[in-house]
Amino acid sequence: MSHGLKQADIVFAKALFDVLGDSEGQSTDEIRASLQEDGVDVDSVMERLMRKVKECSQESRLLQLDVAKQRRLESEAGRTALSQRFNEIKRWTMDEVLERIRQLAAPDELNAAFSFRELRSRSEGDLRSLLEDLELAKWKASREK
Amino acid sequence: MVSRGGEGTVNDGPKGYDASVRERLDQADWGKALLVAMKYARAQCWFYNDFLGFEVDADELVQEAIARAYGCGIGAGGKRTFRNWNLDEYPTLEKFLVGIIDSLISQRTVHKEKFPSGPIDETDETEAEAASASTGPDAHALLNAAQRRTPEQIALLSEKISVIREALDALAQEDEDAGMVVLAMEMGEAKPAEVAQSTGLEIKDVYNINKRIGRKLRSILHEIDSEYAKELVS
Repeated sequence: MSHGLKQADIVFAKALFDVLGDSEGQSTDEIRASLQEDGVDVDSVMERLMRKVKECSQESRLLQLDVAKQRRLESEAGRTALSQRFNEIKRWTMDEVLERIRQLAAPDELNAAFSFRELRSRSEGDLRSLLEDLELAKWKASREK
Repeated sequence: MVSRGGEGTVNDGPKGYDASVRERLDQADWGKALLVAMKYARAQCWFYNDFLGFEVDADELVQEAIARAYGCGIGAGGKRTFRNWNLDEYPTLEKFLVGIIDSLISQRTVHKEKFPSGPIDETDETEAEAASASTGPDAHALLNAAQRRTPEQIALLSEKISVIREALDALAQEDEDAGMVVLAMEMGEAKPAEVAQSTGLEIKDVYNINKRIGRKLRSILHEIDSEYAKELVS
């Protein structure tokens, strides 16, 4: 290798530093002593790191609360939108209902497998109920994403 | 399977972070874990900065490891990054923090150079961490990084390694068991369990020999660095 540096040298050096940083089998006092030998002000470092632990714990709780709040808001907004959609469906014509069923049951959407020809033979009540089920399934699927 | 890591935007928090990890972290004994993490991070930074010319900061690494453990780390592009604590993989807090530090060093050094826009791009933390944890920086990548330094720096590096070798050879002459451990290190083995297995020594003996090697190495490195500093001044 150029400049006399070999891969084996680097492998050896890396292993040495891994050992230098390893604390397995060492007591807290021994680890503390080795850090002090390297000129580390252990008390001051520990104080700073413990403060960081406390700050992160608090920040993590706040983030979790934010996530929960956002999910709740999304869920409430979704329920309201679903309820509005059900009211709209009641006013839709049969063609509009069938068109929406086709959209929701397309293979790319919910992968439902049923014949559209047979749909026309179903009662209006059945179709509106089927569409509500599909809208509900779509809403649930979007919440799980 | 607990996810290794993940991300979310700063506003929506870290999606996928397991909140029970926070409870476990709150109850953990941080005293020894932080000392272990700091000692490990300092040794790694010593190697990566002094030998390979990178600029990684031990204190910053430990602080970021704490933040990621708690689900409030900040990755590339201001995205929230975290590591869920998988107890099967990391049975203690010390090992968990060291695992995160390893990933961070990997992302910021050799893997970053090797895959500038590839799997170590921090925008995909999960993939990056899986890659770095499974392979680590390989010897070839480390050598490439070392060889990108100036001829003077490489010459000094070769000299340091040669001085360390001589000192450890002397240690090996005095103690046959230490000689076996040094030989295992020549093969790139550093984990006490691996060394114990390949040398047939008891693990507690490996720990004790490692302590002696560590003390010796630390004093040699300080000596070389102070001599080098004197040369620079004169």
